[in-house]
Amino acid sequence: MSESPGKRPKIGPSDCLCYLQGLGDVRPEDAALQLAQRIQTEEDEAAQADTCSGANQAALNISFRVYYHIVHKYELQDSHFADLFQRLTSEQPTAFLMLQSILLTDHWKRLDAALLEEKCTTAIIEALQRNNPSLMAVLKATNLLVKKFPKLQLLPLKLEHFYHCLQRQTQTGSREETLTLYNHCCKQPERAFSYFRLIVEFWPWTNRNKYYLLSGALNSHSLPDLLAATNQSEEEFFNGLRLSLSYKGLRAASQYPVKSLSNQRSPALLAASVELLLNGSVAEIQNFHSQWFLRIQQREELFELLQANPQIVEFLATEEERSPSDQLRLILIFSMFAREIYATSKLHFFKISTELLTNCSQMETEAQLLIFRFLVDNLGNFAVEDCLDFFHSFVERHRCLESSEFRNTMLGKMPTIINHTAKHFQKVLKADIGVGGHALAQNIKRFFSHLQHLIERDIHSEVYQPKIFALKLLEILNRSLYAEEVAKNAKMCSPQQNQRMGIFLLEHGVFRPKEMAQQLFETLNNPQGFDDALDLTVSLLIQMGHVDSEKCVERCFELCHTSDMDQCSLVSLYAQLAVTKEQAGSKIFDECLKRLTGKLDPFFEDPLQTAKSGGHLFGYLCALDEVVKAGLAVETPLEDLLPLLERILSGILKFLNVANARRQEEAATAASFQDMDESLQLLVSESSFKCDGEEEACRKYLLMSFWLTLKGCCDLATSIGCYQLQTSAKTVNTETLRRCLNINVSVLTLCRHKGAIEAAGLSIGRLTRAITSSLDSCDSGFQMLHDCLERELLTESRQVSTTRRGAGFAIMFLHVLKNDNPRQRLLLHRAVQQILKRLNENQTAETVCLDSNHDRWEALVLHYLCVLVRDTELRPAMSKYYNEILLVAMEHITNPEWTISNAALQLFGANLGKLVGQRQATEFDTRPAWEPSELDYDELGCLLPKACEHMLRCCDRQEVTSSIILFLAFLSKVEHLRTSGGKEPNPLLIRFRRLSWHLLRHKCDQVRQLAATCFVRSHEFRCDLPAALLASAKLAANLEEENFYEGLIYTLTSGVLKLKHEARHVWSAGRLEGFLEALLTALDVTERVRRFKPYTRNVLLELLGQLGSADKAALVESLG
Amino acid sequence: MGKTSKDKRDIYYRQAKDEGWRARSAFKLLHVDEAYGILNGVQRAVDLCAAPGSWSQVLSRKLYDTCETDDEKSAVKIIAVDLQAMAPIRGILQLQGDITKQSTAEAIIGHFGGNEKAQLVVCDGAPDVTGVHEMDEYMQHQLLVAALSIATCVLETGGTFVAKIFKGNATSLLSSQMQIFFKKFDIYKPPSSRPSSIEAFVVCSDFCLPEGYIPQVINPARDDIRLLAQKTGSEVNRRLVPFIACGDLNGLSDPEEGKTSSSDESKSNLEYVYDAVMDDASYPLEFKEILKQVYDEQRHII
Repeated sequence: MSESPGKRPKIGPSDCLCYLQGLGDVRPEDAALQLAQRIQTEEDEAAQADTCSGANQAALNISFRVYYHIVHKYELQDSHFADLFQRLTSEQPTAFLMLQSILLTDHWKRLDAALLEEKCTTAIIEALQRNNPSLMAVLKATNLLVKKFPKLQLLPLKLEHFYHCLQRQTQTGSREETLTLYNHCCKQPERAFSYFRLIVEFWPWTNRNKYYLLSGALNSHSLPDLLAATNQSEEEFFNGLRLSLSYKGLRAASQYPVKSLSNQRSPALLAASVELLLNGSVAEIQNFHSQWFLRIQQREELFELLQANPQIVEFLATEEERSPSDQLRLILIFSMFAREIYATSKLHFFKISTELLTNCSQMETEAQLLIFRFLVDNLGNFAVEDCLDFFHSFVERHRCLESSEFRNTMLGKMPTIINHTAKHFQKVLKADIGVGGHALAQNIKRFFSHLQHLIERDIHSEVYQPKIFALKLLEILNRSLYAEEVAKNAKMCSPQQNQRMGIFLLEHGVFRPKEMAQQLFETLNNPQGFDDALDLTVSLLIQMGHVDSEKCVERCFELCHTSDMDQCSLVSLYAQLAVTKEQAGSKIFDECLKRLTGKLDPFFEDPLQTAKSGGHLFGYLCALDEVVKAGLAVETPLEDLLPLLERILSGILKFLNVANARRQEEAATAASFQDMDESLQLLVSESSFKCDGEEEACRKYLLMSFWLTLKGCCDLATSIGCYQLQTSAKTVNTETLRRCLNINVSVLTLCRHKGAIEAAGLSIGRLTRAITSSLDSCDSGFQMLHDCLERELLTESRQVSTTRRGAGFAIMFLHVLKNDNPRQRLLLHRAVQQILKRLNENQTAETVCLDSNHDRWEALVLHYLCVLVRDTELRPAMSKYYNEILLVAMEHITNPEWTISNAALQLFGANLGKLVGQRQATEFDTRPAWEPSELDYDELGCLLPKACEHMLRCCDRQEVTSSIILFLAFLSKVEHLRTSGGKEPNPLLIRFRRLSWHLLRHKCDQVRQLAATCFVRSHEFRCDLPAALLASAKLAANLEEENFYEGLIYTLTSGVLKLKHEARHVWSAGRLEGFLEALLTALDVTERVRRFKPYTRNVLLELLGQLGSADKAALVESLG
Repeated sequence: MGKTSKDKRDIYYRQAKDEGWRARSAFKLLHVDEAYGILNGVQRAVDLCAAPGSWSQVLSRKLYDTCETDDEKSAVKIIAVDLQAMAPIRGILQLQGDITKQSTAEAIIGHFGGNEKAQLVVCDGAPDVTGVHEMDEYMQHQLLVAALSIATCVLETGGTFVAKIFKGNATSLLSSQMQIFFKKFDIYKPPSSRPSSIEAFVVCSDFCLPEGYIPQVINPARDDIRLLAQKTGSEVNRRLVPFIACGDLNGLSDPEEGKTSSSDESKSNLEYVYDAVMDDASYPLEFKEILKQVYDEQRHII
């Protein structure tokens, strides 16, 4: 037994206040010292946190406030924190946490603002350059600093620094901190105007950060003044802004400048909005509605402008049949301005709304959903009775629609409908209205009766959509109306009103809980049912409370004894219901344990015969697991189950490897797929069960029984471990935990069945989370996890099994690390650092070549890193390692051992996705010919300095084409963006430009294509690219070398695509056309291109098509 | 066990299980045949990268199981080639080998016997995707080149070749490469191929070796293409192999036209480096003015 030391209690605000009240009994110097010690403790804890995000800032704030109160009151020397300002570097983020606290005390007035400004700006720049996670802490402190000292200008911070801060989205809230600081800087007119001009004229409107950074200038300066300092017209500006409504990735960002423009009451914004509502596409209007409309404060003015426009008046008033597109447009505009239209003319409001509601069922589904939303949002303007009738028919019509979005919208609005109806019902009760009130009550009763009939019908459906809709609807109704304690279901909700209406409905028999529960119970007996529907049914039964525990127990035992695996799997559902009663749970536990024990011997003698005669082990295991998870007290100590589980586990693993064991007399390693297949054949052929020609089916049957039993062992072992931690965390038996853990580990490392591996992965994750959330990191139980990772996955001595992408091992690695304490991620950091260190060390070491039944250690650990990199939840913790990980991936992709090189490729691909982000989604039907990228070369150099050097060296040598393609594929997603960095480009950028130019002559066609894209991306579209393209065209006109010629044509094609994409609303159409003509002239396409082969001329034809030169294309085509 | 509501396995997955296909990919070949009739009259076929065997199952059921007599069955020869072993299939001769090696091609021809060659070569092989689209496309193309080159060794004149491709920028190059050997070429995406997938299939028919070309197996990932191109001594191979392997256009030039002196080459290299070319860039005046203004503003801020 080992006793876990209790965690140190947090210093709460009340402690400090109490401490302050007791000052009279302590010398001021001693009080200050004790406070300083508390602060030090808090700082130490913050330093251990992964990204300082978990620091107890409130405790720090209180402590510093009290400390400086004492220092000032008693005129003490600030001896404890005088050196704090010297520690303000990017390497010490906790110092900035303390600075935040100090700035919140009265002591801020005595600080050296200039010194702090220097420290903060330097730390920001350094944090960016070194990709240091301290950035967030520094930003917060700096924002507080300029709030206290608003005249600080922060001149060392340049536009590119703000850009890169926006790119580093590794912590929640970092964007807002960046923009807050940027807004402060933009209060300086010269700075704001300069930034605005640079952003407007040099950045494409498809760059998300353009919108964020434009808003900063617009927050402090008027649009006309800003535009006057640029070459941009107001029209082009808003056309560019409008572009964001066609790109999903830009919508959220576009809200920022819209809000800024609205705050300055920009009439141009309203005019642009009117234009959009009049002539925009339906998609644009929809996005305007969802993204911009709520940010525009002058909605009444906007409505007046619309109302004054004859085009919109005519559109709204027309009685002609509308096209589906016009229907959507009408509904959208009407929904946006429903309030204004209602206030202006109730006649028009009801005329249009009546038309929509009456014809709703004739419209397309999308339009119908909008009408539904409109009605819910305007319930107050319509009679409740009419609304209920509409909702009933609407739900009935769409309950089977195979669209989760549609279904979720209907269900999501249901609380609003319920609350509104209950509110009116309450009025009826209070006013005691006669016939009208009675009529409303009857309407309400009828509506909910309809819903109830729908539920009772559809819970029995074999089709997923109506079934799940009915169950989810029942869940909402029960919680909102029928439960003993009605829950608040929305912000605007009166549980009392809902409960009264619920009582009314219950009294009138609309909902009969007992009968409903019975029907739900009957639906559980569905072996082929949908998992989530069955789980929701169980949840509903527990919520409703009418569980017949005796029937559940009886059903559990029946199912445990069935040979049908689908039926046997239902045990868990009934057990969950049964354990709500302690007596029933105890009965299940005792009986299942007894039966399980009795089944073991025949199972190990003949597993197929035992299973076929109703002897699956996993049914009993599932039942026991539910009892343990419920935390019920049982007579048998839970750890006594472990030998049983270990025996079952060992037996099944032996069964799966029996063929190999007989060949080698003793099983030396985990069973291969072939071993498993042959073993199953042996078990089936030697079984006393008569297969009658169904041997293959029996093998599948037996394999499924095995893996479900392994799953049951893992789940139960984990539940036992969790129970131990919950009930005796301070005195937990580490050996018991170890055995629980090892059961999961055995499946993950010795079994190759995918289902078993995935189940064990989830199970070990649950156990890990319980351990790391209950025990201190210094506890032996926590240390056990480190040892486990080291022993099972990180050493080279252990024999491993060949699995796809290190399947079982990688899954174990992921689930253990992922479920570590997210505040510190101690396991993760230790493991990753260990792997990287060993991979680097092993680069020069020869390793023993294992046989084909074992993976190389390098391959496995590369897969481990891959699963970590891919996981979104782990991104904040992993981002600091991206440079090193990419480096080891690149170094191993040329390994002659295929398993290693393949793992390295997977890792490179995973890392690449994290760095460059996802492809930008648009509203367009087809993929855009040119897609923007937001990762620029400055940032690349900061994030991946070593990796960049490696890529440059490798590509320059041109030794391995696949590596060149891989690296160019990465670089083809890096964009050059002009900022305020100075006239001379980044040296790294120049090197990559030279490299891509050189590779335009490569012998591999795909390299030439990628090099062309990289070359184009390394030149910004406003000035660099046009010049480079002209030079390229001039060179191509006189070139003889065909590979190089084709490479230049690819470059010109990519360049034209980029210009057409990025110059939109920056260059005028005429200017772009003129440039393309100049390009065509420089290219000088004549009959001399006959010197090139047809394939090359086809590439040229594509370019000529982009340039719109039909006559030149005809000339080339005529050459044959 | 219940069904998961988020079961992403589509109708073809379920149908494959019902009909006993090892993988849903069987329907892709069935759809290709339905569209192009590639199996009509075929008795000798090769399935490259065959494991786990769903395409071989299709060939077995369509070519072997439809035979009514033992003589007809003995005339059918279907060879499945893969590095991995797979479960036996009726009428399928399994050959465990590397499709990028010449010895494998020789073994295939040996199994046909006499002067017979394959009437059909199919290949549904694909690399383990990385998520880097360009890399995946490149690796698939490498595999395709290997499959094509072995097909040139084992196909009879007039034969058909069907193989998986990843659609992308290289499609144009692929078309040019395939049409060197096949008079008819098409790219087909079967209904059973998911719309979100970048895979498609080349369907090439009427195989004919270019005059003077000597079939040889090409592995772009391993071979020194320049040396390989000269290995047979054929001038046609010297010109075509680099293009087939990786789209090298310089080798497609005539021998005399391609010869340049080393001094000329060095000179052109110097002239064509990035810095030299960009120094001569015609920077439009307006760009210079804009840049000057922008940098002046920035300097003033600092």
